[in-house]
Amino acid sequence: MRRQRSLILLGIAFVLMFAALVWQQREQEQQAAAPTPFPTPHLDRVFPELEVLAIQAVQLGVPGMERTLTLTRAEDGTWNAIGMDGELDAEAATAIARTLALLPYSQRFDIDDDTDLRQFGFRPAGDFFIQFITVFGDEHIVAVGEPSFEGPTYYALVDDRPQVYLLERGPVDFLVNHYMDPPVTRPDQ
Amino acid sequence: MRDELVITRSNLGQLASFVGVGALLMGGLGWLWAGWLSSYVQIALVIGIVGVALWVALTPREFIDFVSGRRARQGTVAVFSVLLFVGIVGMFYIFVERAVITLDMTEAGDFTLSAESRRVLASLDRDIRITGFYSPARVATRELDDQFFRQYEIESNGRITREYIDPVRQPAIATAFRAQDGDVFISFVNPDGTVDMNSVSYVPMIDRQERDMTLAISRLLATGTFSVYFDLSLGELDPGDMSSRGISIFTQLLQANGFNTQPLDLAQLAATNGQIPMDASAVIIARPQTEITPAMVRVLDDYLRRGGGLFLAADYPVTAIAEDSPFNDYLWNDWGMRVLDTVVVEEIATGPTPLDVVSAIIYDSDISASIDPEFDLDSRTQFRITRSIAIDDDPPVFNGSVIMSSPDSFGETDLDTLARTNDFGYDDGADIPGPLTLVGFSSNPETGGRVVVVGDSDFLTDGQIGSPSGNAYLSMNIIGWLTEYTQSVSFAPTAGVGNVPFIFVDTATLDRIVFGTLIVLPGVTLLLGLGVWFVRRRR
Repeated sequence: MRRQRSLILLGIAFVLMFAALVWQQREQEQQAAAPTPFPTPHLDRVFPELEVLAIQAVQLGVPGMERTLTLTRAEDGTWNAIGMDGELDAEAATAIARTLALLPYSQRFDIDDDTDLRQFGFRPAGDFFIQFITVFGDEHIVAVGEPSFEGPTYYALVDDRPQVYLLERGPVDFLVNHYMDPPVTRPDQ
Repeated sequence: MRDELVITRSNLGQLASFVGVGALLMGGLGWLWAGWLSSYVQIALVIGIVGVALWVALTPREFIDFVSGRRARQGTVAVFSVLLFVGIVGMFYIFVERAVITLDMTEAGDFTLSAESRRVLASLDRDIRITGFYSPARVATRELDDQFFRQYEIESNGRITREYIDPVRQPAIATAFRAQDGDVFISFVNPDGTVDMNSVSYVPMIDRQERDMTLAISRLLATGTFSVYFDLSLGELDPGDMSSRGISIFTQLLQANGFNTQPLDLAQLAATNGQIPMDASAVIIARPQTEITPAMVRVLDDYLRRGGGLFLAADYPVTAIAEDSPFNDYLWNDWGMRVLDTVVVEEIATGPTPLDVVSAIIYDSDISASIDPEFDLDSRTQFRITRSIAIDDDPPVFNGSVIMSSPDSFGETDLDTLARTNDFGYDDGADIPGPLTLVGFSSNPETGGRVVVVGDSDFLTDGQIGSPSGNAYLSMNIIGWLTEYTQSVSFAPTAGVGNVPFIFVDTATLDRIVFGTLIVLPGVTLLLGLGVWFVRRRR
């Protein structure tokens, strides 16, 4: 009987402690939670499964501008520039495809319906877009926003994923440069 | 011959009760620890429910007897007692860990706020928010800062709260604060818990130490309390002039530190027999071009007798404040110092030219705070063609020198030659041998009046106030001392803490320690006990 009494006392202490913890948890949840950033020393690929040879067509462009750089791959594997006269630099085209396959990001974070995307440069569209189709029929689009806060990265949205990506500037600038100055040698050059 | 092991329905029921209650306990603790129903927690809870259900199904009578308290098997009571005890200890640990109890175990109290900081915090009458902007690359800096900021939160009983924002994830907020990565701001908090953006103030984290934050809080609390008046009636330097000859940066520094800045017309006040406004914490006369008349002296004297503060930045040429001018006589008679008709020359040039005089001798005072060229060369002050100041050895009030030139300097008295040919040289008997006072002060304890005189005004100008940094320190220190703002916060020299505490346990390690202490050790004990119990039963 004495053992049972001890058990009851322990049970009461347990319930009280449990209640105190639940109360403490609720109190802390009510306080404004400060976001805790963590370092991300490595880079990841936006499309980790994507292979260069799986890219069938690529389109680079600026929202609101008619001009785009559209590259398609023929059955024999050679690249063609759609709507452009001249000879396409095959190495440059492959480099573009390789850049898409490797497209690295340093960080990504979740967003929700209430997130104001304008702060990342999407008003509503970004400054640049990258679109490609794979041989399996998958379509992907990367909308690039503004350069990130004091960092060597761009904000980007990928497909309909509920995250903002921080893309490394180098690869994005490489694609932008090719859009601005297409790797096509005109007949008169 | 060994007895056969017979497992009864009762044994199974008891085992199910142990597993069920143990799993429920683990699930509950896991839920409290993680704060959400993770998959592990869900599995534990399911096992617990199944276990208890089996207990009820296999031995309903024992279950009812146990719950109703009529009877319980000895083993059941013992195991449940151990489980409950483990649960209580576990929850107590979680409670204490979440309470963030801070204890400074360092001998010098490196992680404890000073009495000065506590005094400032005791005067808080509004909630304050510390907002820090740290990108992932600055996590180490955030940890360093946080060990201080957390103390402010604790010491102020929650009146000061802290919030850290990743400017990469929330660039809009960073833009609203005009923040750079690593910047820290303080502000008042509105009743609805939002930041009062009108009160946002940048915290210059020079040393990333307690002093920086406490001074910033003091400035925030003092915002609008101090008013500094610039006289413009004598052709002085213009506080709105943004050229290299203006003093707009000095004005902005004052405003950034919470001072109101106002214009003053001393000539008109003298003409109308008026008074300097009562709210004037200090009056600045920066390089007057015309003489301060006896009527103006009376206005200034009236103000200083009311406990005011006067900052005079005289300069070369000497026409406005000549050695025998009415204002200089007043300074000598009432305040025990005067501006001499000399230009200080450093024979062994320490500045760009012999006429650029740097602070060679610095007396420890509030006015010279942070000016320590031996520690930081950039903290020196540098004056361009500066006049020297005579300090009365038998003054009517408390006076003294703050900054002096080197013993190798001298005061050139042949100003005509200097003006015409830019020629200078020591003439024994005519010139004044160094060291010479460049910055002097006087204070009257009876009236509270204070005066600071500097023989130069170039150090205040936009072109030179930041080059070297000591010029800015001096100018702000002078205003701080005149308005008695500096006295509101004073720190004894303390060794700085530049790192996070040496004993630093990361969350993963802490979790492993907790798991071993609260789960593994009692679990092993419990299993051993069960093992012994089973062995004994078999015998």
